[in-house]
Amino acid sequence: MAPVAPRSGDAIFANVERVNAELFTLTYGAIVRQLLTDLEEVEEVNKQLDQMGYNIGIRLVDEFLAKSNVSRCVDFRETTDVIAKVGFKMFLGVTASVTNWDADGTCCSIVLEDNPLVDFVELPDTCQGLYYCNILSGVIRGALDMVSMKTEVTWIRDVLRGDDVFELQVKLLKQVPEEYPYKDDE
Amino acid sequence: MREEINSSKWHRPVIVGCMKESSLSNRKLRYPTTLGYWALPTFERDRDREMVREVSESCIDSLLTEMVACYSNRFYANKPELAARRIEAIGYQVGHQLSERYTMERPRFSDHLEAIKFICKDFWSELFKKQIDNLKTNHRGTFVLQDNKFRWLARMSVDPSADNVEDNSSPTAENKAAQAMSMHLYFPCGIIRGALSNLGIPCTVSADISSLPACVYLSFLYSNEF
Repeated sequence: MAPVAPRSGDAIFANVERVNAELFTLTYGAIVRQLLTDLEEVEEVNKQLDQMGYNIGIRLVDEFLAKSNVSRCVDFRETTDVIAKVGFKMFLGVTASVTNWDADGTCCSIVLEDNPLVDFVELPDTCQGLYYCNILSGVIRGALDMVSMKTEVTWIRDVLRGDDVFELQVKLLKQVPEEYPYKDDE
Repeated sequence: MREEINSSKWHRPVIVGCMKESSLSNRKLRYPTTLGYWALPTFERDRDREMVREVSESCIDSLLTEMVACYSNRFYANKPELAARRIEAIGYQVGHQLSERYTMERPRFSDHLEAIKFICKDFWSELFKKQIDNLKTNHRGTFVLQDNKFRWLARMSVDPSADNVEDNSSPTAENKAAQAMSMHLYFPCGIIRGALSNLGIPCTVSADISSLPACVYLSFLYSNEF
């Protein structure tokens, strides 16, 4: 079969089923609120959101690979680029950019200027330690985990905490070599 | 705040994902007297300028799946009724806020039937891009809303061993599938209850699946006393 050309994030987003973002935003908000009530500790909520994101990420990566036709990324640089340009676009309809690379190319920042998760959101004083969008970092971590990259994803800047953009630091911890269950010559 | 003022399609910056109840109700109190109070872009102007923001359906699908899994498998694995209550509460919150937004530039509903028709038509269309397929009532406070292709269950697979509902050969698998399914229905039930209660109709809502994934009945009743 001839290789299929990778599709741009815009092209995929134009073709997938879409829903009104308000429903998504408000649902996420209601979940965070409920978690805050149930778990009480802000730290616990952060952890739980990250866990939920991770679980979503490990499933979402399949849809991503199926729809985007991306071929194997040569390095981590390309991987983060694909996440920012195609991944964010095809699911959330927004584009992110990648900056702040360190010297050995294992750590960078994904910068998000527009984020549908935080439309209408203000953090009350009691939730100052909350990483409201922590689900996103979980999704990225989970998705990369499924393509053999162990990463650490942390928030550097957060609009809800007074910064001008969202900045996620993605740090490649280790690349797990793939183990083939089948023979080399197949 | 920035975001609200720039891109809000609405008169007022209400509805907050994570905000104290008190500030919400304060704003709500101002509502009946607010014609022109908020110097913000009007609904029509904004709708002309930009399209309604959208996200991929997978976002909401995976969020809901994960939310249900989180409450029913992790937090309250052995207490399904508690999990159900939490999931319903999340739905209630969403329904309450959405109906607030969608009724913003409408006149007040003259009676309950009007409000229910609004739920079946406009509200449902905003959520699922289709209307409720059938609405029935016994004229004594119970309404049954029927959606023949309910999106949130359309892609859900049922345990294949539970396929033969007739011969009841595997009751446990069947129960499990039914229970998992019903957990996913508390959320839309909560949405409807929240929306109606925001429109001044306190009620209880329950759901029933007759033939999956084709059909979902959402029935609700409210007391005639209001």
